[in-house]
Amino acid sequence: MSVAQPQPQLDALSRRLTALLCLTMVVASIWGLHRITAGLEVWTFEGRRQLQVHSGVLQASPVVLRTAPRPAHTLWHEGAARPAAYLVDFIYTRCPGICRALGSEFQQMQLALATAPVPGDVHLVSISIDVEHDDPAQLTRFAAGLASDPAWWTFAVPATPDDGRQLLRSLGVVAIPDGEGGFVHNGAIHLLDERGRLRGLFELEQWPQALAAARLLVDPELAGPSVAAR
Amino acid sequence: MNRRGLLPPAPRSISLLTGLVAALPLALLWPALRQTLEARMLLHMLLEFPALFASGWALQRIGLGSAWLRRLAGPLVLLDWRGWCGATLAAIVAAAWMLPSLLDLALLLPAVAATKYASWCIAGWLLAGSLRRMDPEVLLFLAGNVAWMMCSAGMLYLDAPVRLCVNYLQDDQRNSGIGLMLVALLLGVLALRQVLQPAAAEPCAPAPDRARVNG
Repeated sequence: MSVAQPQPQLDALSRRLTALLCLTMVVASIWGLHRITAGLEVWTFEGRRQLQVHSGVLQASPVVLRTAPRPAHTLWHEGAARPAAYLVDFIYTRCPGICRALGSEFQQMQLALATAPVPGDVHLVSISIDVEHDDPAQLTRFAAGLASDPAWWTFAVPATPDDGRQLLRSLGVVAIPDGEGGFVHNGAIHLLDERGRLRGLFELEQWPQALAAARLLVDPELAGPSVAAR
Repeated sequence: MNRRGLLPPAPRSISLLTGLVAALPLALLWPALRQTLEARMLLHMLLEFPALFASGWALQRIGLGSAWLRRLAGPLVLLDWRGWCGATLAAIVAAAWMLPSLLDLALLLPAVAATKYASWCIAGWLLAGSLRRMDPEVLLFLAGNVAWMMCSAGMLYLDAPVRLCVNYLQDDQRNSGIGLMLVALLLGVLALRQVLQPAAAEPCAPAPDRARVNG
C-alpha cells in the first residue's frame, strides 16, 4: 500500500477513536476535578481538611505525651468512655511570635473555663512540634511565662520524633521550616473529642466559638442560643 | 495506509544529552535531591515538572530509534489523530498540577506523587509524537490554553494573601507565581514563533506527516 495514496477509512477510524479517547480524558478529568475540589468549592489542602472535619475522618493518633510533672501518658484514646474535649494547638518554645499570640488566646480560654467551669472535661493542650529540642522542663518554663494553670491547660511534647510526626500526620498538620530557625504550620485551634476525633478547626480569633463548641461536645445540654445559632 | 508512515523517520543516533534527559526521573530516586527540589514550590513547579516532561519527550526520541518500539507505536498513532490526544492530555496534566491541593497531596501521599511523575512523563512522551502531526491551529490553541492557565495560576499565587499550599511559604508562593507568568509568556511567544515560521525554513516540517494522517 502506498504512503501517498489516500486512506479515508483508516483516517476516519483514527478520527473517531481519537475523539472518543479525548472525550474520555476530558470527562475523567472533570470527574476527578469535581472530586478533588468537592464540587469546585475547595481548592486547597486546608480547605479539604475543613471538609474532613465535617465528615469525621480525621482522628489524632493516641500518641504518648510527656508532660511535667505527670508521667508520660495519652490524653485521648479509642477506649475512652468519659466525654472530653481537648482544644489543641501546636507550639514550640523557641517560637518568638505566633506561639505567644496563641498563648494569649489560650489564656483567655483558660480564664473563661476557670470563671465558668463545665461539668465535663474541657482541657487546653499545647503540644510542641519541636520534639528534639523541647522537653517537659522547658515546656514548664514556657508555661510559667504564659501563666498557665495545669488544672485547665497542659503543655506536652510527644515521646519520640516519630510520635510527633504520626500525630501531625493523623491530623493533617504540616509543619515546615520558616527559613529563620522556626516553623510554620497550618491550623490554629483543633477541637478533639475523647477518642481523638477532630471535631472542629478554628482560627485564633475564633477562640470563643472553639470554647463554645468544646463545652457543647462534653455537655450537649449546654447548647445556648448563641451556640445554636452558630 | 502504511502505518509506519505516520511516524517520523528514525533518528540516526541517540545523543548523550537525550539519554541523560530521559534518565532524569531516576535522579529523583535520590531522596536528598527529590526533597531539595520539592521543598521549594518554585523548583517543584518550574524545574521538576518540566524535567519530567522533558524526560518523557526524550524517551519518545529514544523509542523512535528502536525498531520494535516503532512497530508497537504504529497502531497507537491511530489514537492520536492530528495530535489531538497529545494536546488534550498535555493540557489536562498542566492544569491539574497547578491546583494547590494536588501540589500538597503530591508531597504527602505516595500514590499522588507517583501519579504526578507518571503523568508528566507520559504527557511529554505523547506530545513529542503528537506535535509532528499537529495542525498549527491546534498547536496555537494548546499553547495558548496552557499559557493562559499558567498565567491565571501565577496571578493567583502572587496575589493570594495566605499560603495556598501547606508545604510552602508565602514568599516562595509569590516567586512561583511570578515564575509561572514568565513561563506562560515564554510559551506564548514560542508557540507564535513556531506557527509563524515558514514551512520552508524547517526541514523536518510537520506537513508531510499530517498529509499522511489526513490521507
